[in-house]
Amino acid sequence: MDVIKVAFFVLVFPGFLFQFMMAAVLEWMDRKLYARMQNRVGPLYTGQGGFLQPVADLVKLFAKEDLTPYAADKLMFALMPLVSLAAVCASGLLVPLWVIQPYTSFPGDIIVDAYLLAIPSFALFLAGWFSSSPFSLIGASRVLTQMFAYEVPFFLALLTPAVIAGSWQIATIMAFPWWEGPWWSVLLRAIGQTMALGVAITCLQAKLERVPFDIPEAETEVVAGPLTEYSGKKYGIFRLQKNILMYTGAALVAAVFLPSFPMVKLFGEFAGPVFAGLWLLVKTLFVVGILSVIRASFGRIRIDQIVVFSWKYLAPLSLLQFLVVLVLKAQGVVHP
Amino acid sequence: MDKDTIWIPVGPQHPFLKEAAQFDFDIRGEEIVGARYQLGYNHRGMEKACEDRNYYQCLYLLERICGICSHSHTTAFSMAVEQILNLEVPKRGEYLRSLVCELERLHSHLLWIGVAAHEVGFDSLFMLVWRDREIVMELLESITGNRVNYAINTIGGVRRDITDEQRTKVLAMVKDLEKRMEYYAHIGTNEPTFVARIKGVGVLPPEKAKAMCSVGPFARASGLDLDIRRDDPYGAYPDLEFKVITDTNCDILGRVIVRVLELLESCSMIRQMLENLPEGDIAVKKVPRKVPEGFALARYEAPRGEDCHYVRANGTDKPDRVKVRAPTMANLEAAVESVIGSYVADIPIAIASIDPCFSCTDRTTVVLNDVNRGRQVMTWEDLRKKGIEFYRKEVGISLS
Amino acid sequence: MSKIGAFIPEMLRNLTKKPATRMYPFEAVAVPEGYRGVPRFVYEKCVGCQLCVKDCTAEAIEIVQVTEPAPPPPAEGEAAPKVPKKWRMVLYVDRCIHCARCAEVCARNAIDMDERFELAGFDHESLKETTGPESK
Repeated sequence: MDVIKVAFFVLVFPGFLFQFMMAAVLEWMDRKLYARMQNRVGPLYTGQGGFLQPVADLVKLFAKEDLTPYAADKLMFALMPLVSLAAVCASGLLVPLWVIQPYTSFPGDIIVDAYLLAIPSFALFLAGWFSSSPFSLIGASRVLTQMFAYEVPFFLALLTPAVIAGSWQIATIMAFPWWEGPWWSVLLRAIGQTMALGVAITCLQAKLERVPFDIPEAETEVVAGPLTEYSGKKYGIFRLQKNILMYTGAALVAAVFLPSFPMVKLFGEFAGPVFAGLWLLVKTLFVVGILSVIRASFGRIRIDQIVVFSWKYLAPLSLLQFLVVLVLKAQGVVHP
Repeated sequence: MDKDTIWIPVGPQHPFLKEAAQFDFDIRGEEIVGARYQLGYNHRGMEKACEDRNYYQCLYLLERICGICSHSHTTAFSMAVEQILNLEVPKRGEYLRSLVCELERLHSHLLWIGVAAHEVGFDSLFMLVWRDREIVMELLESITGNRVNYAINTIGGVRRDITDEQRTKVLAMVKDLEKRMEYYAHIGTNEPTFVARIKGVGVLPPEKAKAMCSVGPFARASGLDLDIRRDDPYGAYPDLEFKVITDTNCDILGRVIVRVLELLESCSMIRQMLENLPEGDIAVKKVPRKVPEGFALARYEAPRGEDCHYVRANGTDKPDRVKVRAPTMANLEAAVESVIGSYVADIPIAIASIDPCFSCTDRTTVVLNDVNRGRQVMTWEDLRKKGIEFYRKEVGISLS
Repeated sequence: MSKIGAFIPEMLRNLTKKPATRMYPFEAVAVPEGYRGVPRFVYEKCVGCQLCVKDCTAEAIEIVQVTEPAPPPPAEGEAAPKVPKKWRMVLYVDRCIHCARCAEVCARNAIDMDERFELAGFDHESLKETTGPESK
């Protein structure tokens, strides 16, 4: 029975099939919002309002010819898409949609989630490195440089709610009663959380390599960066991985930064967890909406500019708000 | 070339190039240390084709050198032939020609702003600017009959007149567009991610710009005060009041500013032309089909810079020689030079900042002394001998 | 100092506006008057001067004389009736560049431009149009 339960969790919900469905929904939402903000229509004809377009794109890519360059390392070239997909799906299991201890929720899982989310960037770098094409090499080096820029603020920002809630488990962070305590304590916590949310969303946009941070894959500069030589199924898997990463990253940010309600207390034993999952999905959609607005409103910046921006503004800001939260906690002000 | 320098070929196919051209860059990490370019991918033999066609056929053939600045090529050609024939185009014809000229400048600069935004990844600005460009295209379609390749010129004037209804439409559109253009001027100079990509990039100091013969908005952004509309006036320009926009920024931000302000100047010129449109004929009535011997050089301020057409006539109804020098040819060397020392990320925007039109540029070039292969000029007899030799050796047939 | 997010208000405003996309080809596009489509030949007016053939940049026009059967011999004492020559135009639509020079140069106004612009076809034969009186 256990094996079947585990297989269900890994493959269907909250595993691969559910993540695939959420990735399609989120990509559709992102493309529609992006298009509407530019006064266009976006996908329109595949399915009602174009919501089957991401699936259609994936099916098309899987049907295309899959070429491996002559000078590329065949094993690594073929392995990297799968490695990044596996890492992203594993981190997706840790999204607290359906808290099933100890499978998908355990103490320290926010750290594990953050580390799993760093693996796709490494896989992208290795994919570019082993493609042995000049554009892939430039793209691969840009992936790593960009990683140096955004990883540190991202981790620091993620740790703020952990410190406020006093736990390294995402489920416990979500269950933290943020409405309790004197009004100035609630206000201070909210201010700290909002600053960290801003930093986390910026770093999430950089991790997902979307405009204004889509430097590694800048179409007009390096053709497609590390993914230049990829085509067909392998490219389809990379795109799928990007979308699932968007789902996982946005869900993580939504879970720890945006407020949650005690659904079991409000709605009872059976409906409670269902509503908790739905509320988390709504918050994820909201975070993806913000990501779309950011994507539509800026141009791409250069690799040296993102490093400067990150170390001049993002890292000090995240460090500052983290220190503030630590000081408040030490004074006994924050924790109720 | 040391171990750290790698050579990347940008082109002939590359997402940033709208047409095929080859650029080779030597880069060290992200910094560019060397650059070369090679053209010829868009050569279609236009100049040779003109020698077999009569002047009217040439007119519509030369229009198709470029889709964006098609009117500049027909106008320059017509001006050259009219000079040889000593024709005086009636005033109304000149005004209508210059009206389409300024409308073409509007659509070309709007196109360029969109393309420049796309090259730096600012796709939203690209979509919005091109949406507003549609208004200009529809106006051109109603006035001339087609959205590109307007074919409104003929030797001696224009072919179509403009109705009063079209006049009011154009005036209303110009008023609408001015508001949008001021908004784009504000965004182009204030949006931080856009400015960060174009400020201080592709710097070309004025002495270098002059030494490399730059023309058009590219040169004007480096402070050079060149504009054929003022220096060598033609068409309706002697009667119009307009400013020649120059900027001292010498980088891509300067070129954006020059083009956006030129958009606003064009709007004001269109308004002046429509309000003072003279009555009369639109073309010379009887134009001889056989052009007497003579030659002429006509210069025209295309949206990209100075476009020169040289036409030599020999008394028949077909031209003896037509030579076209497009503005991109003059600007390309300076653009490639301005990108050395910058980053790889600056390549697309620096080369796109001259508003390149490689279709305009590609004519036959004669390489006098190639460093690798020596003298490349042959006489007809040498070429024939070489061909016979080649076929005898490679294919085994004798053609002598 | 440039303003961060100077573009965001415009983006959010566009969310409430109707999209600027025209749903072609599901909605027809109206061409303006005077649009230069495909040349339309009025064969009654043609006299076979071939000026359009000479001036066509793309060599897309052929004016061919329509062969008529010989007229019946005239009756006794009467002059042979004058049968005007008839001309047929063969237009290669795939070569035509829609410049309207043929319409401009025809001295008898036998050519004008229609409004067609959706001219794609699968082979060259389908794009060769012949207008004129049928030859016997």
